[in-house]
Amino acid sequence: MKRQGPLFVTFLSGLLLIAQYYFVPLNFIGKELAGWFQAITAFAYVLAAISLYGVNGKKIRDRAKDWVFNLVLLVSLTATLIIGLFFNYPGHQPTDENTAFYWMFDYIFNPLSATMFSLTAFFIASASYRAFKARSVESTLLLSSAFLVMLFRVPLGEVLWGGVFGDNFPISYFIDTFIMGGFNNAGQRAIQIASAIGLISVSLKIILGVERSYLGGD
Amino acid sequence: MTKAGTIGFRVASRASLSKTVLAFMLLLMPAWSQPLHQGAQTSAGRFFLDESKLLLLDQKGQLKKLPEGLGDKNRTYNRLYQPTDKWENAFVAVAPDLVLVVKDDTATPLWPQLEVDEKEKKAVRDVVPWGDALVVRQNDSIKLISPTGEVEGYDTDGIIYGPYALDSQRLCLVLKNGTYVVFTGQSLESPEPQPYPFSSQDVQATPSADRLLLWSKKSKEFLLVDESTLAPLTSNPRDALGLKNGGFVLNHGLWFEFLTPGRGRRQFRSPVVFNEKMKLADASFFEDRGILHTLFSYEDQGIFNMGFRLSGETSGGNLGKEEIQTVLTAARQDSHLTFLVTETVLNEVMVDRHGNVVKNLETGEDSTYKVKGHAIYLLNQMNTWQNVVIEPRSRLVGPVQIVRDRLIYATQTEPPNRPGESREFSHRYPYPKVVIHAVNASTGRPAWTLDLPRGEAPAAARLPDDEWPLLAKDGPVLFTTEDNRLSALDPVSGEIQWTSDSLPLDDSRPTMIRWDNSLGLVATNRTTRNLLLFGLNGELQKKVMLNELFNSQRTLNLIGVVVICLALIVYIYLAGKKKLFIRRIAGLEALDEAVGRATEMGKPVLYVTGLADVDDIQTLAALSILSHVAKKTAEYDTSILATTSRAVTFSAAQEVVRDAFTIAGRPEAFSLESVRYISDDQFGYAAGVDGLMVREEPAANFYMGKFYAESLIFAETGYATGAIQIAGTAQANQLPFFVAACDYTLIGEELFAASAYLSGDPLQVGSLRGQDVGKAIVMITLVLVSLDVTYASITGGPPLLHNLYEFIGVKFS
Repeated sequence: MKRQGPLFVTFLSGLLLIAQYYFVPLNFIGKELAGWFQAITAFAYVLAAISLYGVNGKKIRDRAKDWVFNLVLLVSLTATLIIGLFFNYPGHQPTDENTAFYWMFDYIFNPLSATMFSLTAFFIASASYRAFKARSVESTLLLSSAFLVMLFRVPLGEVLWGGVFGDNFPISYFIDTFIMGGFNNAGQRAIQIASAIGLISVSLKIILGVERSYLGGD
Repeated sequence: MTKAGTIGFRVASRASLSKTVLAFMLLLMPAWSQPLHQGAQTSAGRFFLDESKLLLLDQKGQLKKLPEGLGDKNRTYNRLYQPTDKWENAFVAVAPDLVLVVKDDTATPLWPQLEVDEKEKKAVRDVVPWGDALVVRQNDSIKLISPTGEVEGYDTDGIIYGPYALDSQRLCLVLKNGTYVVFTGQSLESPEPQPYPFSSQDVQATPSADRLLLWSKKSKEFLLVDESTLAPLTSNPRDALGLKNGGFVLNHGLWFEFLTPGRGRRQFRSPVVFNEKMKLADASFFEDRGILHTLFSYEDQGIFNMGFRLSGETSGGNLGKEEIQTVLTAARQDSHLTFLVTETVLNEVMVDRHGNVVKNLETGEDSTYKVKGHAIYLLNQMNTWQNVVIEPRSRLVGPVQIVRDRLIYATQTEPPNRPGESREFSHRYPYPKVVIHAVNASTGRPAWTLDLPRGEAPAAARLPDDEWPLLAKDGPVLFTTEDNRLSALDPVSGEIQWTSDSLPLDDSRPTMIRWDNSLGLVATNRTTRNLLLFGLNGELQKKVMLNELFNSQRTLNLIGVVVICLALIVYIYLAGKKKLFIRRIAGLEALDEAVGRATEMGKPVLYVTGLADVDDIQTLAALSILSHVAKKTAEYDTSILATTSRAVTFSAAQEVVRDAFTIAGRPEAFSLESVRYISDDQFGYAAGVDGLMVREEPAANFYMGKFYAESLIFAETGYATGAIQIAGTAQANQLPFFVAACDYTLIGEELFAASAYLSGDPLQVGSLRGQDVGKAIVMITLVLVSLDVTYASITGGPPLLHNLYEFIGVKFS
């Protein structure tokens, strides 16, 4: 029964959600179930927070390696919670402008997020350096097309090309039409179509109960 | 009573005043001509627009097929015109690319093909009612449609302005060839062109209620159409505006010039200098008892109210602090009254919970606080604004409009703010009740107030913005109630005439359609959209469901899903009977190898489930693979670190790993630290996982699920720590990053195939073969349709399979 119950709920929910996608009078079911999912998420956050406090608290208690980072995490989490809950003007939401919570978001959270995101620029360079090596025919093709796309998508490339060939053969047209609009687009669509079929396959298996490993076990 | 100049009113922005002017201009039209969205009626039945689609009801109230020429169900229309009662069996339907005259059940296009005007970006420039007829302009041509559906045309070499219907007998066009024409007698037959004394590049045309002024910024003369004599001006005008009384205002910068019909001209010094950017249309001009009034904003100095007598006397001044909602004029037989409706800020005395006035401890005076409210003023015979209504803590909702000698408006009033007193709160009606009020437009005195019990009161969300819907010219005002009924209110007495039964309505505003002897209400509720047909006595005659049961735009989608599902089911069935060959997927073969490597090195395995929640199928696929990986780590006695960014995914992953350890026969090896919730935030999650990689130095990293910009941050950090890395995602944009930085990558469908591949379960393996068959079907379809469309393109004819495309709703340009 422990397994049959969830499988039955999955089967019923799957069928209803498919039906509501095609039949207009049932459209409301999708919105209704999305609301239910939000409610479940709220409960799951409690479990997640307990896990965070449990795992990191244990590290701090045991003075595990780099336990200070765990302490920083728990202090930040607790401070954010307290400020969000208690340091509000009467009648204001924590996320309203000019609240302490909003200030934290603007001056602590956003710069930290931007810092993490900016790492991507350096990682793109290092990953490209490794990927663009002419070790085989395929990787040489990859390297040459990447070189063309990178060079001629910046003004420098256009200027260099124009200086040599004039306007007789616009390289940007070649890049847009043949490399990005042709090869790249075709490859992306092939992946997307195959993914969509795979997605239908997994969904069907889950609805029919053939695939049940996401529930744990077999 | 308050003198003009002491009542303050201020318009927050120019747009507010423009809205005022717009409301003022709307009063030029009879009040009953607009309130309901008009349907159209011919002998063929009752036509109406439902979300731009034209539908037809027969006499029994059943939907029926549109007559030939009105297009299929997918054609959209902008508006139907059946302007007066004389249009018994004809109407005009305007579509974005077509104007049709529908007579009984025959539709005839006015022009074979509409050409979009490059300047105006629309095909039909104007649709103008002229007496009982309708005049439609397309670029340089106009057509007149009579109430019987007869069409008359007039082509020109170029129209600059018009058509202007000056009255029911005169229609004017200003042409590019230096002339203007005035049609008379509701006919477009041979008018005598008259020259205008300005160049066609400079000429300006300004209509008023029944006249047309031709002028130029480069000339000190003006011409009134029909008077055909030039008159001099004192200087070049910058701007002109037509008035409801037939006159005009000209802006000369330092002064205004009023051209008053039959009463000569008068110049008045402008209270402020109208600069180049200021338009007369941003102000409100109206005449009241021989005095021309103007209300306009000037920079941040507030609203100026000036009254100009024709004798030369000027009155008025800066009006200060209030915000104009609208200016309304109620016409009487011999004169008229002008009302000004404003939003205002009032001081209210503070009262404690026992009803005692709170005193200021320092001054001993009554404590007050500012509240918003509304006020209505009447322009009295002394040329001052007399306060008729003032209500604190209330806001106007819905239209403010004069209907049959009553100025009708609705308000929502907040209860008084009493410190320490908790307010009553109704979960069913969590907003103040709507109360409708009326002021006698002849006397300016309050006439009635309709304060109905909760439920029977008007639903605020469904009140119209601009005008109260009237059932007929002298009929009741209609509104929907909080408990979803339709009520008819007599505007004169303020009594409810009838109320319908409860209707299937949601909070959206229903569209009302009026035909000769019936009323239609297009209303939506949670499940359906219906046309509710009422008799004029409020009896519900018929309910017609308008939306389709099946969403026909998704036919092709459904066909594709059914075909692929059938292939999957067939192969799942066949898989139980014979062994199927499945191609090798290197990334999945390497899973066990990666776990083995971690075991040999005595380091943990890191499993990242991506950013999506469990409602995303990629996360479910990731959880399936997690089950396999966790089982292997349990068997090899290696620790696993599964990280999640969503709370629900965390709970599911915890169960998956716990069960995997149990199945592997080592439940005691499961630790709560094996599955960790990090953060919902994208880069917070990235930072947390990166920290784990650097501190714990896992020997094998798995990235399975949905990833965005953090994918490369993970993969590059993992590379730097020297871990073997296997990634899998269906995010096409992130795949290049994983391919570049990871050892193995499951591309798109391979992620979804992983669970079946790893389990070796014959049923699941069958689904993989079904997936491949699905792909083959898609490939064959793509090739066939490409060939068919290419063939059609070469021959210039329709595609061979056009009937099939039409059936499934596919259109090729």
